[in-house]
Amino acid sequence: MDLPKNKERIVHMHQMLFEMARGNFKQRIPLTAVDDELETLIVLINMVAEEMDESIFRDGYLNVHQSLSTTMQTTLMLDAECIIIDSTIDSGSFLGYGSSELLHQPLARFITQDSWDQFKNRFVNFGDKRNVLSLAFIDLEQISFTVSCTAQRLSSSGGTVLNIISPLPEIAYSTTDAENIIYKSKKSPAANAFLIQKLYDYILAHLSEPLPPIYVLASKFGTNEFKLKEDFRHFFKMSIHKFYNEERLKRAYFMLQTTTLSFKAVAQMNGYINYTNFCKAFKKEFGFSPSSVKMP
Amino acid sequence: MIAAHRFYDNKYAHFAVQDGILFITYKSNTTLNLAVAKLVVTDRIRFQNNTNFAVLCDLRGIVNSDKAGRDFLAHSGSLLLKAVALLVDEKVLLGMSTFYVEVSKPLVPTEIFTNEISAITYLQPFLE
Repeated sequence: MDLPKNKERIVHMHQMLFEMARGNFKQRIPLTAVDDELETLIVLINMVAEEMDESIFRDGYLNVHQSLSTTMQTTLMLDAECIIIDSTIDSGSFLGYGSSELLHQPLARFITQDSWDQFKNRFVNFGDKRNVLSLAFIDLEQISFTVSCTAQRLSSSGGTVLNIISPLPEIAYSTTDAENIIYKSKKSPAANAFLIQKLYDYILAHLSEPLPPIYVLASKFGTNEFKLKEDFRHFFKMSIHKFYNEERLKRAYFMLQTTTLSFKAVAQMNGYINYTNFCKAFKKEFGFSPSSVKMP
Repeated sequence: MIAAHRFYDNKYAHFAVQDGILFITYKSNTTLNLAVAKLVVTDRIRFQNNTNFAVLCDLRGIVNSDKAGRDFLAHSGSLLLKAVALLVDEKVLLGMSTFYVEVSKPLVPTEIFTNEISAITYLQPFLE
């Protein structure tokens, strides 16, 4: 790994990963023809970049400076009895309370019994000076959620400062942003990309058979007819039937070009029970009949 | 070209039938792009003369590949095949062929081997 040549290959890998992070999937790491683990990784990175470039980011990619989850930091100051005596502005919002509602309340009121026991053991009974811990808070609607905290003992008062990192609550967004996010989450079929990929693979693997009715496909892939059709159209800009027909006709064309199989056999091998229907569909798709395709 | 030919060569691969298995051996320093994949698949199909075969595909001559070539091989390249055993070296080609099987998803049963005897054993149940 420490050989100069390997160091150079690792530098190329770093550069490539940074290019991909910037949205450039066209760069490739030079191959060295060495059959080792490093070369395997290089080949795989190149192949992934190529797949991403041609399948996902064909129209370009914008690295927007926004993540799906944004965090906020809240600080609570506790006295020696673990009563909240001060806090940062809006500190209650991560629990759904107003800012002043946390003041003069015991910390124990806002965390689960287990978390309270954990906190008490470390900072009250054993006198930890500083620690990182996970505490399960209970919000206004009595929903429990665990967040990461750092706790530090104050030197003179015996109190503790608790720093909490939590996801930014929806109320922190403007109404328009929140509505947009909800709208996008309802409209975006991204969550169904995996399902549509499975349907796509299924269709290509079964071109030699008639396409099952959509309700059968929907049941097979655990969704409903409307959603299956809508999501498929979102990704492929055509109906499931049209895609299936186009693909099997392309396959039939390739078979006519490369084999000496009879027209009838080609029709049957591509899911057409009726040869006349195959001829009609073929002519409609390509503008000429199957018999015009001659093996060279 | 007819099935009676037991051997065939083109620029990128050698084709041979032995004990009912079609052996396709890629030549040294071949880059599997779309043009190469099309020529190899077309010649293979013609060599088979409309007969289905189990195939042992020796990839050890391949040095690189592109997406178009892999996709063509996985899709159109599956025509008239019962099953495929890919024979590869242990490191780079093993990674490349695993990527092919997982991502390009060939339409016929396809397994990867680094040993020819194991590859032939895998194909036996597909021989009639």
